[in-house]
Amino acid sequence: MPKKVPYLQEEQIERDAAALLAEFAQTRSVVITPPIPIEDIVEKYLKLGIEFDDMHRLLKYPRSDLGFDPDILGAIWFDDRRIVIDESLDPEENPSKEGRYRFTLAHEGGGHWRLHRHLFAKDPAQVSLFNGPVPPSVVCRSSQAKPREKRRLLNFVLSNCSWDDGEVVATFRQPFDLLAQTTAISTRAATNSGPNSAKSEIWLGN
Amino acid sequence: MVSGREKFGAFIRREREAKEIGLREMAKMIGVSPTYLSKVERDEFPPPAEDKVKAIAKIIGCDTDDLLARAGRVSTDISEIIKRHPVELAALLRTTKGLTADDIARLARRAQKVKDE
Repeated sequence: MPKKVPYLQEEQIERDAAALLAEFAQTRSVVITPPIPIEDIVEKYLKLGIEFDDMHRLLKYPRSDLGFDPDILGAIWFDDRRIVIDESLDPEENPSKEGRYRFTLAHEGGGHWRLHRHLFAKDPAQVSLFNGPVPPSVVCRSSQAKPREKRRLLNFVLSNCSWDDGEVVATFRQPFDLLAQTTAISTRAATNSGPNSAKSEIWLGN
Repeated sequence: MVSGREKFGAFIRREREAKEIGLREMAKMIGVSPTYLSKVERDEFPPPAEDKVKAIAKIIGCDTDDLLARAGRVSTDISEIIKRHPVELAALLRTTKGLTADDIARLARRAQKVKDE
């Protein structure tokens, strides 16, 4: 069940991020320079375990059928001190996902662990009564957009496309065709009836 | 005794974390992807090939033969030795059944002494 968390001002989040970096630097006696050692901060300072898995399979949550990107990027289990990142973000297998992987890790460890775990106090009643898998404390999705809305937009875009010899070809019928007709009619009308004819039979009707 | 021991994946994860080695860091050291190592650590995937197990043993500082045993394997060099004298070595190994680890260690020291003479 979704849990409401109190709104935090941007400055509060910035302050906590700066505090976390300072704590890490002091504890490890290091000077932090970009890129921020987010894995060291999460694993060695916050002592949270990182895992990779197929999040949709793990959480038994169906994928939307749009593209190959997952809808769920990561999740955190506060009680188990465990972060699971979707395997599509594995930066060694997909170097182009390095940024998203680092962001997700920072979001789970630096964000939810630091700012929200006190809101999820350990509750023995939450432990599965049937020894089934315990659901994560927080699940992070890639987008707030609903799959149905994405599908509607995609259908709209593809309605003006055709499949031609293995390629998607976009066909722009409107308003360009209308514009061409309007221009032709306007030119004809100007020739026939002089300078007062600004009225187009297509744009403004008769 | 191997049965009843902590599984291979859980063991290497615990040892890795105790040594403060990151998941990606260790995956890089043994030449596999973090996703693969993560699945091995959860015991979803079987233990990796012998050379990787040996590399892991070196990194986490545990005995190679012990880690290979956890992986359900015997080192290739041991298999080769047994293949050279299968009858005698099978008899020797059967004789050690029921002996304690200390007894076997003592036997090994005596064998070494014989070999050195």
